[in-house]
Amino acid sequence: MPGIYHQVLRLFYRELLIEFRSKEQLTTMFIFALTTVIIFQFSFEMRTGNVKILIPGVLWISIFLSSILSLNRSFSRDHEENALIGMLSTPLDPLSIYISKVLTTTFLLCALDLILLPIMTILLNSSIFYTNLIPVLILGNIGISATGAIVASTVANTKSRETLLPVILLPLLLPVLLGCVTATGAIIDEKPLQQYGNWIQIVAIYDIIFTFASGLMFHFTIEN
Amino acid sequence: MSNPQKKFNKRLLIGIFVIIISTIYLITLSMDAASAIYVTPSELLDSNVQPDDRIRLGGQVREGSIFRNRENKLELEFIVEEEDTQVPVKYNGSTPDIFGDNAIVFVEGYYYDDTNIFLADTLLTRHPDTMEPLSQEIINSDPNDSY
Amino acid sequence: MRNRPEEKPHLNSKPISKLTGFGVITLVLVLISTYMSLVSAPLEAIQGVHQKIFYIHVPLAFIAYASITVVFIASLLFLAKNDSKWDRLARISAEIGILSTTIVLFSGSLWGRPVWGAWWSWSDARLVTTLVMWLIYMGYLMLRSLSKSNSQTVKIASVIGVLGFINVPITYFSVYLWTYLHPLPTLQSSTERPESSILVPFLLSFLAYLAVILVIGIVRTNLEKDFDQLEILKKQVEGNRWE
Repeated sequence: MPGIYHQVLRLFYRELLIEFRSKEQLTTMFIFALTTVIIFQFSFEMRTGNVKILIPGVLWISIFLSSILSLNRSFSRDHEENALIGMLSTPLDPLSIYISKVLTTTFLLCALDLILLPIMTILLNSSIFYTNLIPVLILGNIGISATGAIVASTVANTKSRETLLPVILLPLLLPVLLGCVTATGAIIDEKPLQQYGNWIQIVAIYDIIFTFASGLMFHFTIEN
Repeated sequence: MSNPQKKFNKRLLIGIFVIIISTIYLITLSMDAASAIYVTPSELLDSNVQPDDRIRLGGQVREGSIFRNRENKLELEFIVEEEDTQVPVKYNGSTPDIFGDNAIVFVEGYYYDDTNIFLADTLLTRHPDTMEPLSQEIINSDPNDSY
Repeated sequence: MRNRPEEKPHLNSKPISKLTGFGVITLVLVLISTYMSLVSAPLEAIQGVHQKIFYIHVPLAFIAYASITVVFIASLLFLAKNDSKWDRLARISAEIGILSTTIVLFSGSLWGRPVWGAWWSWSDARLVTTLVMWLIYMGYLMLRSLSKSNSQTVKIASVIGVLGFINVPITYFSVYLWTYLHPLPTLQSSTERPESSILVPFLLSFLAYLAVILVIGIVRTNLEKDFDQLEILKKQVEGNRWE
């Protein structure tokens, strides 16, 4: 049996291959995120002249809600096609399944950001390209994926997985939302780093704690 | 391949270690950062604030400084002080029940340098850390009727 | 065809039991503490009559956080030992935690309006954390009630029970960056303890609510045990049918 790094890479390749062939997750995520942006634009634009105020919230709510679609799809697919049973019948380390899921979701969310940012720039008529935004986006995406992967794997066993995932996941992700929105807002307002550095650190700590805690418990959610 | 139970125990130790270290770091981080929640009157007067900067000012209400408009009881003026620095505040709205002389208040709004007046739109009070029973003499004269 | 001897099911939730005595003591405690805190305790110097809510708010807040801690520990023990008694404890503590957190949130905002001047403050770490905790454990209970109760779903619920607890301090400290409204807890900042005329009714209410929670917990545990018995009996009937 190859080592864990090798297993993670193979599983990551598998996830990407499925996604590349079906293009299912990225397409739904993108269309959904775009819809969210449009809905927010129509709900708030009349009330505020300054669209820049909306950007952090709209950006992160779009990412958060789209991640739920992707996570649900990713795990229910494995259950439907019995792929999980197949994977578990090999001496695979469950931890490598978790890490590969986190990597895939992070990768897809980063891809979503790459499409979403230019679209938002056009639709909201204000540039949101700042290099400082890159670490915030990556850390936020890791946080969403780290918690999302274990919660999605948890609810994938139940009948009402589509409804339960957001109900359980979103409150758990509150520190990430708080940190990312505050940091994004400060970056867009071109504030100095020390005003939002703490928030980036909080999101990073959240990522570390939840990745380790979930990694330790992931095997409970798939073992039968 | 080593025994899976042994492998899990090793991971458990590493995981718990990392989680504890991160939590401690998080706590120290928050302790350092939680100072700029409100400004005191002296900080407000020293700093160079713009009229459109929303500020949360915290301090004690100066004894005897509360002045209510006779026609509109919701309009009031009072002085927020901290030792000997004072900021006059104008506020329009309902006040919490424990608002009064020497109450600890937080007001949110805008400060105008030229007229030296803080226009507040939100007024919050904080109850003191200790609780003391009301002494008998004060019960007989209801403090709410004094203004 | 019944060739098996009738097994008499062992019922835990009997209508009259030792619990009745404890229930009566609890009721008396609640009555005495309510009388003491509402009538015989003096009015507080600054907050006046509004401070009375302190006698229910603070004990229940302690109980709420304690029950969530019990959920965490019991979930961990269940994951480690795989003994269903820990799982039962986790579930019942979560229910008690939700009950007391709900009362704490409502009584807190009733207290906050006259004393702070606001029903709710988003900049207070304790309020926001309590609400988020309430949401997470509602999700936990929903997960448990919406899924079939086999060993798998029970195990995965424990994972959420653990993650939810880990989330509490992170939420608290991330919201703490704005904290300003709550003073330090009166009893913990032990530099100045409140006078005995306030402290005694407080401790008595604390004891009374603790007793109420224990009664609920025991009744609930017995009920859960009976449900488990019922499942076993059902399986036996199924087994007989196919014999």
